[in-house]
Amino acid sequence: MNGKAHRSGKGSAAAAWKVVSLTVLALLGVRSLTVAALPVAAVPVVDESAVRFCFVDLYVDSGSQTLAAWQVELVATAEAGEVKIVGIEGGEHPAYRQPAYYDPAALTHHRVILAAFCTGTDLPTGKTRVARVHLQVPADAQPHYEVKLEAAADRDGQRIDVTVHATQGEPS
Amino acid sequence: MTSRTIRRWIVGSLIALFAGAIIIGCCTPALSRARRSSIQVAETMISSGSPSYESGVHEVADGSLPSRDEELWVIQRAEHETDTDQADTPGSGVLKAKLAEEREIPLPLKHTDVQAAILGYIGTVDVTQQYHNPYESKIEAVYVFPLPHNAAVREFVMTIGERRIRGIIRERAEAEEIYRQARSQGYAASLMTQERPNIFTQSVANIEPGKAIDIHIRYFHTLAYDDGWYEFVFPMVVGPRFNPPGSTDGVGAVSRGGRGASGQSTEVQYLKPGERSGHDISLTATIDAGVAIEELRCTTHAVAVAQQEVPERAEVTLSQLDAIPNRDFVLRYKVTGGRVKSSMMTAQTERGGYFTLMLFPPDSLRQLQRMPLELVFVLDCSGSMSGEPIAQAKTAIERALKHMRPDDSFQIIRFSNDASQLGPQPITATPENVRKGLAYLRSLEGMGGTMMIEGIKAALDFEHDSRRLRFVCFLTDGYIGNDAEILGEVHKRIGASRIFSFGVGTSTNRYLLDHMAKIGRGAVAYLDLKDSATEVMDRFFERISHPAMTDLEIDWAGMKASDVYPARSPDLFVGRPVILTGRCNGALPPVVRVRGRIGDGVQTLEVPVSGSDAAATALPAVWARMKIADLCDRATHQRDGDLPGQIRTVALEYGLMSAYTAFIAVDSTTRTAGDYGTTVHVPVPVPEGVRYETTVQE
Repeated sequence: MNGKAHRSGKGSAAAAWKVVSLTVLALLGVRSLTVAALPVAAVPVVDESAVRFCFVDLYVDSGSQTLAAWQVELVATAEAGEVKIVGIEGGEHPAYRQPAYYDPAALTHHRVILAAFCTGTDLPTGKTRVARVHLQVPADAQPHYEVKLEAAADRDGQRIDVTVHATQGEPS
Repeated sequence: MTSRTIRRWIVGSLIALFAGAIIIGCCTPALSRARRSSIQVAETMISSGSPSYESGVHEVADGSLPSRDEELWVIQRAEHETDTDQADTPGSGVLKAKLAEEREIPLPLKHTDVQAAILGYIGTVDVTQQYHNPYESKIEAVYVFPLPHNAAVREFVMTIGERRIRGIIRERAEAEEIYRQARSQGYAASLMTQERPNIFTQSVANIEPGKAIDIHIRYFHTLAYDDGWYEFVFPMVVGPRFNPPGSTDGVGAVSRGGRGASGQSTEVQYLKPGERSGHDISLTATIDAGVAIEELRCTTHAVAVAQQEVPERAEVTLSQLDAIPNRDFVLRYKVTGGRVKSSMMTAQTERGGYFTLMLFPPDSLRQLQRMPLELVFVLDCSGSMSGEPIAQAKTAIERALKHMRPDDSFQIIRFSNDASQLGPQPITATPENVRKGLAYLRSLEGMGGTMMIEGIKAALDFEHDSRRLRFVCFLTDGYIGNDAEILGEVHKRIGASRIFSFGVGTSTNRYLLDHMAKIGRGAVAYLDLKDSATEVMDRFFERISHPAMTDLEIDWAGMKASDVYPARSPDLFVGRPVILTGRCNGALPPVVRVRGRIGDGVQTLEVPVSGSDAAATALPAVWARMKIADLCDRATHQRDGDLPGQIRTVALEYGLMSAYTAFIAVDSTTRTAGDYGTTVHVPVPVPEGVRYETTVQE
């Protein structure tokens, strides 16, 4: 009897597990049915810990002068591995909302020369974000940035003195 | 004054980087005109009355807005009936419109917009693919789509809401790895890869429910020219390809949801009969021909042509009543006769000089008569040709046989799973033999696979009759997945034959057909199902009824020309120009001289040289694309050397798509929650005139 009762107790626990398992399976089943209705492609497993993504904002400060054109070289490095540029986004002012152009011949993994211009009349003055550069960086590394101004001009096509700097941003 | 000064500054210091931007600047007024024109055309069409469509400007979700300052014109399809089909999207709650008997499948690719600006014979084409997520969970969208095989794709921008992220050109394996990482970590990302010179894959990861992501591509290409007509083609769907048994790196044709059924590395999924997707297309082409446009034709689609103030320009808009992307869009325009002359256009850039030389055959060719001909017709009788395509091809061959003279000879070869032919050798074109040929031709039907290799062997391995000029005419849709193998075989066996390829159908494999003709020093013609087969064959006969100008040699008059493509100059046939593209250095001469043989004599043409600032963007890209195409052609029959490495180097330097490079764009500002979701492959309709049952693997 005891044995039976014991077995019976085990049986109850097993039954409970079965119910839980079936419920989970049923839920999973519903989930997989939901997904299975759409064509599914196998996705290779990737090591998420190897890299992460972040971005760097490029600012140009033209003081009181209008900024009609600019060209900047950005170099992003990390001691622990390679930094890769994976996208170039436009800036905040409408004049530079379109993403800047880059020179493919000068592009390496971590170095890019960016430029943009605007012939319109609505041009920024003071400090403005002109581009956002998206990066893939080693997971544990903190990248270093070097920004070099190549050229900047006002609406009359005259070279102007500006300052440039970069600020790293993290995903939200 | 102000803007002129700044432009000068820009040209002086930033021209290399602004190449694309300058073209945008050039094109913007034209494109704005095109948009306005399109609106007028649409209004006209709508006012003429169409019960199925409503017009109006509607609120669009932020995610799908192109930009704040762009004009918007949304023609909303009327929802006749709504339904939620749980079998397709359980719990998605997607609203679907049912029209007639067709069932709409909710898909992530909603719309494709095409804006083409044609200047002379160079086209700049902007393609925007609008993806959205109509489901309840996150998705990755994958779309296999065609572009012209000579398209130099050099711009890629991903738009999320009002934010635009320019894609970066990378080595393909590296771009794929970055994409996998970004997708896996939940970032919106897009990847564009090239599977064939005319087949591409677009992958867009982590599209959240209800959200939209647009992908914008820009490419340059040269237009084809034939007997006074320029031809602009925008392919809309990849035709179902046949792959020889045992192959795994082909392009498989499978039914919707049948991923993996073909065993090929690239697969196109096709909608089943009775299904349709909500994906539609809009297209506007603005033409500035440089000389007056005499006539404009589009036999493939319904279009509206907007009136222009000058006869050199035209604006053509695809009718929204003909917006299903199931066949190539082909626009032909004829320029004023007698005014198109050979010319050479050059452009100076920071990288050096580039040129394109368009050579027209001398008028004297038309006065000379031809030698006897040996015509070998090779007819594709595979399943994809069954029905209308094979009927068109047979009409064309019939017409050709009736053109032949008794001192000519001919042969008819058919191929599908195997090849067979009218007789062991070509036979003279006596009336009796022509009757026999016609009877044989009428007995042929389309079924089975496309073992094109068999057709090529049968056609090119004949012993050549030196008293006759041999032309091998392939009539096929080119729906094969082993393009490189076929081209390698043609190269190996071509001998003294010339190849004229005829692409038959609404969405042919133009890469294969063009390159067969190129290797065979012949020409290509396309026979849409709505074209007149007899007219196309008459033009072919006009061309081969006069001798060609052969063995072309160019005296560059002191200019240093290098890297000229195609490396082997084609022959000049009546009505068909030859375009050479290369690099140049040194002082530009006023003219270059082209010498060639015509029969037993030699003739020289003088070609004026001109410089063009407007071509400074397009020419380097077009040249680089031609260099890549030349390296790819060599790779079909050469095993030595690092051809992939050379292709990669050119593509990266010029920022171009190739088989070894890819565009990647990642939005790292926001990491979406959860895993990467479900991968949804965008199925497409089989091309018009092609039977699903005989071509698609279930």
